[in-house]
Amino acid sequence: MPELSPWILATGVLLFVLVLTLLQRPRMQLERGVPRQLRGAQIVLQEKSVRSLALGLVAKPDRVYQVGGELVVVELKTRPQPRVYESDRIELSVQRAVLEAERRAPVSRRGWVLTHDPRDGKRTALRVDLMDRDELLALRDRYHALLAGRTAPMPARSVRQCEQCAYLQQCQQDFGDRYVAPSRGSLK
Amino acid sequence: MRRPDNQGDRLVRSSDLAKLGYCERKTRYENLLGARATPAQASAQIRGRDTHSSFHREGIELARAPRRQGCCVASKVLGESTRTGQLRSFRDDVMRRAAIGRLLVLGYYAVSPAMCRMLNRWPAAVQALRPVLTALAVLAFALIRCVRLARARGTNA
Repeated sequence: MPELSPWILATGVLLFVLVLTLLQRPRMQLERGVPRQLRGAQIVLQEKSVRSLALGLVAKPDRVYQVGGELVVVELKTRPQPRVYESDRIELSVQRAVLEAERRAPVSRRGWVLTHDPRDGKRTALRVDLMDRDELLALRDRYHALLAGRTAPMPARSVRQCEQCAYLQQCQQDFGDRYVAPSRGSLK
Repeated sequence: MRRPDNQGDRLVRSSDLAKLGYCERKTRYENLLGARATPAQASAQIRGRDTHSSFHREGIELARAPRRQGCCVASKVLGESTRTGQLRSFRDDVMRRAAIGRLLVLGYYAVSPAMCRMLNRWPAAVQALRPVLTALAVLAFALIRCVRLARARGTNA
């Protein structure tokens, strides 16, 4: 048997990898920004409402992947900064809780926020540690208490958030603690 | 049993509950005065809806695209059994987490259709492969357990 040159072998391997990469290109384009842990995994649910009467919650996950024996929730957010906010964590936690309750399948305690920069279309995946069930149910009860007027609502953590709020004037009238310079406020 | 304020009967949407993470007063005002948005927020909402639509379309295409999950050799030899599931878990939990593993998975899916065609022609090969793949599945299962244990220790540390 003629001796196989290592160079021929290396070229063969390179060509094989190149062909595989080219074959996967359309899929790679569709999966841009998707964390590598979820690439190639099966999407089991997207944009479909899941409700749990027992929890009193309803959610519409952007995407739910199945990885191994677990479901993983993914939420897309259009924002210039690749950053996760508390509201994202709450939203994903609700999705996790209703999926676990209704589909009776284990859902990962870690979800993903996929930020989409509207300026250049760049997507960034950020991992989020989700709330446990008790914490979430306490928040749901607080929500009901707030709407019923049984609890005083807390303001936004930073006054900067109020600059873009459509209720700024009303809030300033009612509470008087959210002063924003007129030039920066959204309502003048 | 109905709650006295009747609020408990209503399902809370994840997006509504999420607003508490932004500002509780805003949630209260939206409920009392109706939803309001500044012009900047309104255009951001439109942009967000457009992005969501394309993300959804991409998801539909991804679901239709040929997936690298057709573990056809294992399915052919072992059927849809626990052992096949263990091999799949090994692929997802161990192989796909490393670049070299993903490359090996890609390589496997490039050659597996041809291997399946061969197995169709030689049923004796299916019988011969069964104990080999069963042993591999057992080994894979043991490895998955080790990896999960190591990850759990890493998280707790």
